[in-house]
Amino acid sequence: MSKSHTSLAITAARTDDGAPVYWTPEGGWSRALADAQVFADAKVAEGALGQARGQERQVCDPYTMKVSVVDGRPQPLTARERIRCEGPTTRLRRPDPPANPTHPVP
Amino acid sequence: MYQYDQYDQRIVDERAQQFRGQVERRLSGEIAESEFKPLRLQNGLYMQLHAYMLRVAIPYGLLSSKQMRSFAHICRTYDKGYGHFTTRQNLQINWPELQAIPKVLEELAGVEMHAIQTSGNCIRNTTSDQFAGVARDELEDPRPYCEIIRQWSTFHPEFAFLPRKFKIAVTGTPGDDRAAVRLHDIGIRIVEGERGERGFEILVGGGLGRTPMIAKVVRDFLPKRQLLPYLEAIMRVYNEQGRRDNKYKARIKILVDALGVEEFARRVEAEFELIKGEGLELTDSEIARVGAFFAPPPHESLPDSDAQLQALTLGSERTLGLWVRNNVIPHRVPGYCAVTVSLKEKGTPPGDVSDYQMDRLADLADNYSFGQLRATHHQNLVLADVKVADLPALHQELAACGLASANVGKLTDMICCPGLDFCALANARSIPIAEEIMQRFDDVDYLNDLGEISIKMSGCINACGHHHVGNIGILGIDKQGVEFYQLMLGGSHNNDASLGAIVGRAFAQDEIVGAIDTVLRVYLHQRSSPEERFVDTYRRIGMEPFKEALYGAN
Ligand code: SF4
Repeated sequence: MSKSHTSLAITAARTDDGAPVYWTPEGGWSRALADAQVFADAKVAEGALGQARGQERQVCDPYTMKVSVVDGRPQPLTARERIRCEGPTTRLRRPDPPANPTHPVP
Repeated sequence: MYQYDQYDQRIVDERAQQFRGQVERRLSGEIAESEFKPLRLQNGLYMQLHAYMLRVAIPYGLLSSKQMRSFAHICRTYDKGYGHFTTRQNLQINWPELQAIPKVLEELAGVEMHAIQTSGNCIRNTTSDQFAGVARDELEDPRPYCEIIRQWSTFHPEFAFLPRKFKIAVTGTPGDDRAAVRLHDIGIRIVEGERGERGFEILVGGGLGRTPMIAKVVRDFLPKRQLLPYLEAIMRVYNEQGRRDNKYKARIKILVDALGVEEFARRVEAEFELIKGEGLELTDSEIARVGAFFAPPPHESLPDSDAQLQALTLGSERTLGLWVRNNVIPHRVPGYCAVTVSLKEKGTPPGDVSDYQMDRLADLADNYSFGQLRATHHQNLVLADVKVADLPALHQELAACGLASANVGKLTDMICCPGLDFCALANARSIPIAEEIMQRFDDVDYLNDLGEISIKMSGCINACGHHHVGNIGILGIDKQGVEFYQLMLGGSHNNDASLGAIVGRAFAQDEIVGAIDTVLRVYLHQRSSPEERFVDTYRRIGMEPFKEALYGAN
């Protein structure tokens, strides 16, 4: 049976493109929540948040988010953070009609 | 349409250059986000959930085919190949990288466009009637006054830091408010005075959001030449007396409500007396100069075509007939009509258009409508000067690029904000709900049987999707991290503007579309005749029958 408990991770928007990124144990940033450092202790998380805030060139507005840790992997707890993590839930761009093959669908 | 003079072009070019420098400083680490944020917001650049979002102003919704092609190029080159038309007649792109923004702004400047004042506590893009200049019931074209307001409000030094954002809408059709002027901070209606002279009725304090209100009349009749002094007086009273201590109470509607409309009007009139005669008055020649930019295009002299239009709706080609019936209105010039291109296609978020479709729309505007398009506050586009004889060919070409939905004014012609799939302020997703509604209610006969009805949906209380004034309104809320949806009934944005009322407890994501189905069944069962619109049935029978069907005895 999988075990889950609630902890914290640190997230921010990447300056270059606004993409959600997560603070890693190495003191850098990753696009994958799976790479995030997970904090069981809120005080330790606050300390790391201070460090993260120092990286102003790389990221904008870091904050802590609650995660549940399932089988050792952090999972978002809210719809908002799940969508940030996984991307929009809708198709981004409608494909062109077959008569126009010039612009591939991203 | 209006064309930039050397001053317009210079300030837009200079702004793009300034922002290039600001982006460079941000990317080099010289300035932090806290310093950069106010600068980027002044250039319409937001930070959303997954990426930056750039909001481009389309003055009163009017754009040329050249500008549309530029949008297509920008979306293809710097974004993911699509753009989103908003309820404020603007365009948003959702995925630009920061380093690309200066280039995007330069390209926009090259076609007389920009993103200035599309964010922040300033006067935003003035919006108007999508059928301006072509509608038969119009008293006078409102676009010259929109343009005059645009010139007055752009970089107005006194109104760059208002208590809150500020929105103005103008209509020239007092009998049919297609610009929703009662829902704006200032709504302007062109009206006739006692002796038949033209002027403006001025309404103040409308708006949606957290505290929805319908605007109130502060001046029954304002002579045309006094437009700018009077607007300036309103802005001064608001700028000085509007609340700055609480952003939820900072819109002008709160001030008007707190003072009472009579006292607010008295203060405006006092300020107006001080300003009058200081040189802001419009002259006839200035009105004529700006008006000349909006002169009708060179229509051909054609015979009356109302019978032809009618014949198309009843013709053997059913798809074409339905499309003409729902998406086409007669024009004031014989032989012509105005076509609404629905951006509410099944499988596509309302208001989204791909770069390919933008290019095609630009071609169609060139071929069928004098090279111009209009964005509507219903998140559709309009080709305003199409020959009736060209309708079959235009319909075919629109169908070939997936833009021939015959649902204008019908249930699936929904207004929907980006919601939690994109927006950093959202509580719940709106696009997947819109898509589910479009899937579930896609039978064209059913839609026509339902008749005129509107669904409007917002992903949070900010109400960008105008949910308060939908006949059926949906508001996304957050219950401990889970998305829920509140249902409202009875709103309207037209001349009979009214705010919807909440039906009862909110619905879960997998319940909300079923709840709408229930509401529609009640309507179909209760309407007095097929001609009685949903909103009229609601006003006649009230909330109870809907409530009972939705919640039973609970
Ligand atoms: S209504 Fe709310 S969720 Fe929708 S776009 Fe506006 S701020 Fe975002």
